[in-house]
Amino acid sequence: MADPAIRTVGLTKRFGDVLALDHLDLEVASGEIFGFLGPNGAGKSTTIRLLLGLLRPTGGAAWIDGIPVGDVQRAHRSVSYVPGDVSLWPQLTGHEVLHLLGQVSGRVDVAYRDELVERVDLDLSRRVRSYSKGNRQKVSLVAAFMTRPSLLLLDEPTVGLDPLMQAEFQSLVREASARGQTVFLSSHLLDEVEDLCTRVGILRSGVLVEVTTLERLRSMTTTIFEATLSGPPPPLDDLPEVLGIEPMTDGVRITVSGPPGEVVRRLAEARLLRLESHPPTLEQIFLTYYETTEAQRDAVAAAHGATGAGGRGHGGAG
Amino acid sequence: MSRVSRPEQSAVPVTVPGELSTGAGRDRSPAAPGRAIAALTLRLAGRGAVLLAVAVAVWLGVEVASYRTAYPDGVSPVQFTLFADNPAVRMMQGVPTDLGTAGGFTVWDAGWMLMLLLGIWGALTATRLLRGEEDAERVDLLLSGPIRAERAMRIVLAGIGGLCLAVGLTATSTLAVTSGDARGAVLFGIALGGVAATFASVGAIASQLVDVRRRAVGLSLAALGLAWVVRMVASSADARTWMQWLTPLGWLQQLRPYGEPVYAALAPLVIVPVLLATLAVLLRRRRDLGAGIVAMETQPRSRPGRLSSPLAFAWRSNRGVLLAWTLGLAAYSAVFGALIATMIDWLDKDDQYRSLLDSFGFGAMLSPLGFLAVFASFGVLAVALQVVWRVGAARAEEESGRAEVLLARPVSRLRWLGGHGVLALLGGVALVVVTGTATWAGAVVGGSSEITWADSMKAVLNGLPVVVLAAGLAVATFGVIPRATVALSAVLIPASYLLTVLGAALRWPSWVLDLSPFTHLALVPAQPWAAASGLVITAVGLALLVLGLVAFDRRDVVNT
Repeated sequence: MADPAIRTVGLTKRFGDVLALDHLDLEVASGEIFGFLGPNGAGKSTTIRLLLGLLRPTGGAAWIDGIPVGDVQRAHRSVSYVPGDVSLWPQLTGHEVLHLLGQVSGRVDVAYRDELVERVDLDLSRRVRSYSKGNRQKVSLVAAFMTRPSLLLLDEPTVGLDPLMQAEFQSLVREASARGQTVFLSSHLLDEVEDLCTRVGILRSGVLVEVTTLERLRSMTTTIFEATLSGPPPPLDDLPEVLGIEPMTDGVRITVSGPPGEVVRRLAEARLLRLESHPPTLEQIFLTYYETTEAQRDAVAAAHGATGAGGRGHGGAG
Repeated sequence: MSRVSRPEQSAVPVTVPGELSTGAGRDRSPAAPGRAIAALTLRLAGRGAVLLAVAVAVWLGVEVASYRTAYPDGVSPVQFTLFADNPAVRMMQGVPTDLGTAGGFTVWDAGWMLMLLLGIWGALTATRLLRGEEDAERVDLLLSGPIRAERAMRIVLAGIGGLCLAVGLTATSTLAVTSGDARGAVLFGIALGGVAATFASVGAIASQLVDVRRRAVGLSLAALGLAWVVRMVASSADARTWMQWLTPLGWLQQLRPYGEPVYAALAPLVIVPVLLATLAVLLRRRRDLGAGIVAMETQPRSRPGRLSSPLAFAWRSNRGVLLAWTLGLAAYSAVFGALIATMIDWLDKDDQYRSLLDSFGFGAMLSPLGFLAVFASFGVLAVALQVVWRVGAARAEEESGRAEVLLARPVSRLRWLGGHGVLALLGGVALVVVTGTATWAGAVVGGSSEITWADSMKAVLNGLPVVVLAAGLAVATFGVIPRATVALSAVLIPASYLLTVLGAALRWPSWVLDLSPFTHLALVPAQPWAAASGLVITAVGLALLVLGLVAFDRRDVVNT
């Protein structure tokens, strides 16, 4: 099997007293779209900058296509990077910036570049000075895709883009993936990741909390049931999958993690009039990882025979 | 949107990652990233270098032409001793040598200022490209290409070095054509380029040590200031000229391009910049992108009490810079003050010479008080420049968009800019007081007991109107042409100082000299205070200040 597009082992970065990234073990397979989720300050950008060799790890190591990230001349041959807050040379025109970045990468698919410029509707004749934040972001996206890299490191790339452009970005990523390019997409925009990624990693305070497929994440995490009952609510406290119970006017709102069979059976016995369930959005999944304790998740996992739900680093190419 | 096509349908063959490394038919070579960074370096620094080269060429052309007019038969022995033994002239311009030719005179008369100018340019350029670009996080994009950070840095350094040499060679060609001595012109050009490259390398090292460009500039200019003080000490007496070897600003003096050249002096001019640049690259290896070798405060403490108003915030943002200027100017003034007694003692031993100078009307300059007055005007120039930079901080706030955050709140533009203006002026006054006090303290320690604190203060306060004028000019520029805020004032003020200093030596017509405010300052305390001139200059400065405030209130806030 070919080397994974990205591999990190115990990757750690410390800034003075602050532990920005703590023993990250991660593998991203070639051709995968990997979502890297976390709130502001979780260490997402630090991870990407470590992968680019811009920062030196305090501990551990990382490889891109099997090449140590420190060997940037080889590792960066087929890598593109889109920073979240794009800063470009104000005195250059958009065209000059693309020329410069193409030269630095060493190759440009000119026809594809022109197509990209049209698709994102960019006027390259203007100076960067006069570009809006969204237009600067477009320049950097075109610059990233035009070299047809085998790995795209995208750090919150749609910040500043309007919804139309966000949709265009998503189709660009899908096309890239279809061609076999790997996409590492860091984001706090959960919708974006939900639509694109097959696997996601969740980073929190520098610790990788979870790596899993979206499917598995959804099945393992919370569903909210809103039951309208004509009688008193049944006892549910003893069920390990029940994470929360709130009374409503005519019934009860139950947060369930895992298979809901037993909850539904008890509700049915308690003269159920109406049952609404909300399938979890990534938002809720995400919040579950912040709001529930590790012990709770372990209990849920144990009850359902799963393993390591609360552990870190499922690793491996899913 | 005529040719929107899906990539699968485009004429370009569908690429899979495995093929990318060979990339047939695409522009690809290992040298490409390096070439791109070299081109970017020239793009970012080239325009400044061209402007500098033109300024150097014009300056040298004027010097040579003026020399030929003023001294058609060469500098006479009497005039030579006049220059050689005037302590102020010696310490400022260096020990005069080889004044018999236009080239030699130009090297002595213009070389010191050109070295300072090129040194400052070199340090500013290196810190801008090596730290400023990193502060702006633009380097990230370049280094995500297949190029090592150290190699990218070597290319930038080589580019800056090339520009330094190019500016030096402009001086060479100008002098070779106008003065007709090719060897001297070549040596002078190499020396200028070498000095610029040396301080560019100093800037490169500073850019590795600290993590914000402002700090890197401060460190580099402190190094330049130290080099200048060593040069002054070295030039203060014939017995100390060996010290010129210790400072990059002294190597030109040792080289003597238009005398009997000491070729050994070429060695430091070529070797030192390369060694320092190599050291900078080695330091780069030891740090992360965006970080400095010297860790700055890791645990910042919040002090919200000092942020109670825009004025308080502006003060807090710039007090570090003001402190650095205070220390630098205090050290410089104290050294100069301490040297006064030595110079005067030395002059006192030669009565015949003193009477000769008196007959030329230069007697006043050779008394301790006259000496003090001449030196004070140089201190005033430095303070005026600091004030300009201080107003430039307001422009930096506006340019970065930070000013908008404040102006979007109930803060009037007048209050905001007025606050910056007031702080600039107060900082200027504080620096003037520090300069005066430090000069006096140095003089007392150095044995010039006849100089009182009041004398020293009178000498520097005499220049205060020029400081007000500088503040007014900078604020007015900020109001009318915001993007030229620092550039315009930082060129006009030193230029007018030079006009007074050089114009007098080169016997330019008085109406030209009168254009400079420095011309109108009396040599206080050796002469009585020229009250009318002082008041007029102050009034013009305040008027410009008001003009700037009004203009800013009427124009757009420009954040680019």
